Amino acid sequence: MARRAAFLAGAGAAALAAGLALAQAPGPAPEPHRTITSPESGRNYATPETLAIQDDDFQNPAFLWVEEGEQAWNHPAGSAGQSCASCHQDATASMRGVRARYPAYNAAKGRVVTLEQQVNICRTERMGAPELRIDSRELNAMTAFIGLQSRGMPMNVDISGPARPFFDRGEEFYNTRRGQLDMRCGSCHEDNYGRSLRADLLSQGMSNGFPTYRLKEQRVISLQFRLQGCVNDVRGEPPAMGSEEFTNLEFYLAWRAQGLPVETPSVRR
Amino acid sequence: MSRANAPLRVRRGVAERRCIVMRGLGAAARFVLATAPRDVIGEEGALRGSLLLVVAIACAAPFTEAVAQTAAREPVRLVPFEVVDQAIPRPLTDTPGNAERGQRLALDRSKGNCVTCHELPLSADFQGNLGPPLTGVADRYEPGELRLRIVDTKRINPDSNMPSYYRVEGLNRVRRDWAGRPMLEAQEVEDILAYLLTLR
Ligand code: HEC
Ligand code: HEC
Repeated sequence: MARRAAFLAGAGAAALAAGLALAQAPGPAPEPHRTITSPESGRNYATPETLAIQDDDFQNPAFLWVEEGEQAWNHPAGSAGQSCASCHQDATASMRGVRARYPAYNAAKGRVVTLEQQVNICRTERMGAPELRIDSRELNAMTAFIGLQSRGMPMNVDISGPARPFFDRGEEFYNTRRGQLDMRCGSCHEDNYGRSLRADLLSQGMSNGFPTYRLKEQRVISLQFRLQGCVNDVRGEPPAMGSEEFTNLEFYLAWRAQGLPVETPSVRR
Repeated sequence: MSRANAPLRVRRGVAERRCIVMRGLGAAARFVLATAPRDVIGEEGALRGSLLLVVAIACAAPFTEAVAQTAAREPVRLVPFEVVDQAIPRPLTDTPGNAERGQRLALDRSKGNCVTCHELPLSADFQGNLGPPLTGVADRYEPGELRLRIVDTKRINPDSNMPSYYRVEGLNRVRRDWAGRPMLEAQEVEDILAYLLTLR
């Protein structure tokens, strides 16, 4: 009897909670909280030597990747016998602004997709070509080439409407302590930018320069490769590149960098 | 003995010796496997267990994988300690800490790695400043207070960005190779503490 009463009371409370949630549902989601109100590009934290390489397109080794990407753009691949150019023609016009607004909500997929994933969607669904592995040389070449077409344009992702839950999940990942060192992303990139971890000067961890040529790796790396590195460094179990978790995190990072100019392809230590 | 034979014999000798070594390591690894639950987890046996683990990791990958998985499933049982007034007054081990070893551990990336976040009064290529400099830290705190700061500083400041070096519970998605193990062994905590106590 008592148990039944408790059950009824519990059900009543649940119904009330549901009613409250419904009452709050209409209207756009509130603007998320910005911990960093005036974002700074990673270039502000790079050494003059590194910047000298980034700022000279003839010295910047990432331009080897850009050239490979440009060739692939015009080269038919897959069973449909089409190239990227078959649909999108001149990339300098059609791809202008794309890097700045990705990741983006894809209505057909019902989720947010990264630029890498969009390239693979085109390949598999339109070209009849196999997916390129995330962070592979071919895919980084393509995103470096596409990204360059937005260089200087402000990052501007759309987190409204159906995109918002994916953004929220990315934000939650960002703020969750993890790994044996029990740190959040913001432990380093919000609480401590401008300070040093041994030889590394901590930046705000902005994503506007990706893909980037990393001197340490001697290659162009994708953003999610860098993210795996950061999770690894706190001895956390890193999600796979291309996973939903990292896609949502990348979406959140792009919003954090909102307004910063696209600097693809940047150079980092 | 002809010249042509000599290198061959030497080679065979090396091979034989390696074989004996491997057999010995195999036995060690099997010993670790057989005794893992007690030996690796046991308080006094922790160091011995981890030494054997290192040997096994270096030499017997298939064996160690099983050991690592066991370790990941069941968190290592830590030496019990008591927190009194934001301090751990009593040492975690009977062997007194060794300051020299402690200094090495404070620099070692796979151990304390303190210098990544703290300036220390010694020469190192690079020193971090995410945390405060540790020079003079022995003048500012009692030994027991410093012990708690190494063991689990979050008990003093829950928002701290300093890792807890002797804690295995309440962590989120720890990398598989470290899951269930503390960052430092109890004796290593005492060694680093002994080093901190020289920083006046
Ligand atoms: C223990 C410290 C630490 C933590 C925690 C950490 N990072 Fe990093 N991160 C670094 C260091 C060091 C670098 C390289 C220097 C720099 O740009 O800050 C870096 C670089 C980056 C960069 C590249 C910035 C650029 O301009 O090249 C991004 C993006 C980034 N981190 C995002 C993250 C995210 C997201 C998380 C959480 C999943 C995270 N970081 C957690 C230390 C950390
Ligand atoms: C990832 C960064 C990080 C690492 C690694 C780290 N610390 Fe800290 N430490 C901090 C921060 C930040 C503080 C400031 C107090 C706080 O946040 O609770 C601190 C505070 C301290 C204090 C108190 C200092 C004072 O003057 O109040 C001591 C002692 C200390 N750390 C010792 C160590 C030792 C010993 C190690 C290595 C075994 C170590 N720390 C590793 C970040 C770190």
